[in-house]
Amino acid sequence: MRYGFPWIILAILLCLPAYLSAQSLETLLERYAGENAAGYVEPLITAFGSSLNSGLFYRARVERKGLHINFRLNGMAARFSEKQRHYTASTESFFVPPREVTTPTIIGEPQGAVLTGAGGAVYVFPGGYNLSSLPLVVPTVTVGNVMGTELVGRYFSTNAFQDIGKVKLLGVGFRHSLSQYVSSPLDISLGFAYHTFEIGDIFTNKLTTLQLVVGKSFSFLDVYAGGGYESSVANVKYTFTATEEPRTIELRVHGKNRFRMLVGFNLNLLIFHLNLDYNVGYQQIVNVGFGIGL
Amino acid sequence: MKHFAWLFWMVIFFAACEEVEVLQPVPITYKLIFDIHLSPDERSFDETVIFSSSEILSAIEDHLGEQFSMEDIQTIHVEGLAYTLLETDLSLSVVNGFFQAAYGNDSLKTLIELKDVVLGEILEERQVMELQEEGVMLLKEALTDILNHNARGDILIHARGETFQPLRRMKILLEITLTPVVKQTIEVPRVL
Repeated sequence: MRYGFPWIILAILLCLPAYLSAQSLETLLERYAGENAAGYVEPLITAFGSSLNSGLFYRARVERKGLHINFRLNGMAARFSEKQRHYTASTESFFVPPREVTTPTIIGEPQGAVLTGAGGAVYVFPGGYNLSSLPLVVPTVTVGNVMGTELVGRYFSTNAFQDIGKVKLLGVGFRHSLSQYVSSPLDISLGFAYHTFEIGDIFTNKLTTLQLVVGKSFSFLDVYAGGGYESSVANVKYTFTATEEPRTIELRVHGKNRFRMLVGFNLNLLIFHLNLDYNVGYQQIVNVGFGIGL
Repeated sequence: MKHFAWLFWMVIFFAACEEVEVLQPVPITYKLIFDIHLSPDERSFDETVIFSSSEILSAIEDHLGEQFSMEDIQTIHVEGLAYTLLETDLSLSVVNGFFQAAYGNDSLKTLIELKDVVLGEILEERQVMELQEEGVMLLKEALTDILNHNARGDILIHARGETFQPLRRMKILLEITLTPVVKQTIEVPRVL
């Protein structure tokens, strides 16, 4: 099934609850009580983190002062690599003999590894969602400028998805012009942002990023490039019911996104701004933003 | 502008929700208690516990919850088995024996074998055991019949064995993990 804009934004949001619902995630994780679960969900954590740490700006320049306000919608797609589709997991429970095997992560093939053990006992690992990419649509507001500094904010909250409870995104950050202190033909700025992203009671993701951007602005075109350091940590909470009395499992999963390089451009047409950047790090991200503002 | 506009839509225009069928194991563990009593002159035991077909079925239904139905089960596997000696009156006793299964008109098939087990060494310690093929095959056959609502009675699990000491009582917990594999159809985002 395909949708065209503007229905696609709705479609992405509407299929969010299906694969991120507590029931769905718990079913997938129910197989795992420990380290296996962290390896299983890690690609999704990394993809969320890498995506949300993208699209925080659309040019390098930050004016020293003057009114600047921009409302932007960012569409991001995190492309999963082949190595993210599998990981090494261990058998748990009463399966004999204990073994390690390469099996799909949560974004891998729908059929997990199947092991045959002593006497014909069988251990089945869960399959994945078979995702090639993770798309996200995020609203972004930029306000400034005071002393060469602009503020960046993101907010989204809804209870519309009954299966998963509240979905909430909060992001705050700033970007400060460094080129105002030095004589440089290029615009240079340094930005920082912090995000929290929550899905019901099951998933809380906290992200930070520090990014240096260098670029040049022309009348209708801005070009920019940069690099950054970032972190992504998620708490995943679910009920483990597989082999013993039900108990709550709480995992702390670190995303593998650490460093990124990016290159992009922005097109200005009156009050409309259209930008695209390509981010290369552990996760590759394409970010496209469409904004209205001064 | 027109040439660049498609770049914005590239990410979201070609995205959509698509259905994917994911195979998920939903393991469930059953607990059976064997309370074995021997008279002073007895040196062998044979305690039987009924592994009820209807209870297996209802337990699986409960475990699947509202998200799945029995029709979603693609197959069911025997994953493993463990036993725990909960109580004994003579820790020095050495036991040899079997846990065996019977179903329909089939003869007893061995699930696990116990060799020279010193009760005091395993008291309250879960023992994860290698399964034997004949027992696993019988359980698998019975479980398939149960899921097809075609069960030929209940599964009987026997704890059989002998000891050379004057053992009077043993209480054993047997845990059997079965793994129904369900097909989960779910919508996921897709970007071309």
